[in-house]
Amino acid sequence: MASAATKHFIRQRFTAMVQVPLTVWLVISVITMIGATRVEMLEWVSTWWVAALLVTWFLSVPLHMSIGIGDIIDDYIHKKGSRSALSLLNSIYALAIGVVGVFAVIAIAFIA
Amino acid sequence: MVELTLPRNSKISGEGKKYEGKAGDSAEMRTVNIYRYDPDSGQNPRVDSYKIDVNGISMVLDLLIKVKSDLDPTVAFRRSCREGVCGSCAFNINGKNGLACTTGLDELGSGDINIYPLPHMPVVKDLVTDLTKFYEQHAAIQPFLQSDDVPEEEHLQSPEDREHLDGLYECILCASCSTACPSYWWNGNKKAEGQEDQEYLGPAALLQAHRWIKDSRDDKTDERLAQLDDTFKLYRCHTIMNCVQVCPKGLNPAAAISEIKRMLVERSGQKVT
Repeated sequence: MASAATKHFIRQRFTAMVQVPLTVWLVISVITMIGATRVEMLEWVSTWWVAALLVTWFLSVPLHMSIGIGDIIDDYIHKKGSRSALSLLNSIYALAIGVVGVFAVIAIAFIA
Repeated sequence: MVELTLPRNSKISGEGKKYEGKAGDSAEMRTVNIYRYDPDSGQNPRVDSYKIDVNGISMVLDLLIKVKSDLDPTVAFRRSCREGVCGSCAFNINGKNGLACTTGLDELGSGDINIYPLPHMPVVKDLVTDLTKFYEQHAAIQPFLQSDDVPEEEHLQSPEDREHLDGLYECILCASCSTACPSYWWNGNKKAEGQEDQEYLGPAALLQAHRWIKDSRDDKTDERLAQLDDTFKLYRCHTIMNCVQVCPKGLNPAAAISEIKRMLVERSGQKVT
């Protein structure tokens, strides 16, 4: 059974690996969509596999971000109370970004 | 929070003293700036300048010895073997940690030579730093053979298994790597904050930990890995690689640390792809 420290390390590496192809795909896709109308963009996001990839991206990025910022907090914040408070804020911030991102994709795919 | 201001009596202030040696016909005069600090004086550190003939001198340690013998006998520094084996004369030379005895003057360009103590360590006097914490961290990884076997003569090892220790056993504990590591600066010594249980062991101790983990004769591999499986002891390494850049023996502590992390992932039953 992995310790919390090793689990943290595995999550960091795993989310990084997931993001490499996803981010390359997203950047290329957005560039190729330059000049597209709003309706065309909504249609693209509504495509089932695009929506699935975007949801994955919005789950992976905030998780990776929170791990990275958590590492910075562990590095530089030495007071245990401040470190716990900032770690909590960091988790809430990442969760909020993830929820908003996933909600936006689902809203476009199923409601718009 | 992290300490953003320097402790009292640690800022370099005031004009340092200037010394000038005799310049003969074939003299090659060069200026050496040396960090000076005497805690008994109660004064802040200063940097003294020594203009000295370097003709016939090839290594920084020889230069320091000449400064001490010809210009200023009060300069304090450690040295012993003068051939890169004992690790005593590790300083920050022109901004890079290394051994004075194996750093040639020809590696330092043609300008002034600046010699400071190892970064972020308490200074005992001048270039002599207090390495107590560094040695404690080395002791913490239990750097000795722990075997369940009690052989009649000695613990045997095949040449192939012995090769696994190459690049690990050569460490001379000069502290160049650990004191070049920003993670070690921030988290290497938290005694003053009462958080000694949340300290980063540093590249040197972790390289040695890996040396014993890889030793085929040692039976405590799992216990050693379990001891290192910690957010602070091991995972403060962010592969900055300063340790690799400065190691005077050409070792790679960052690779050793990565290998420990990989072994911990495997130990946890999951694979890194």
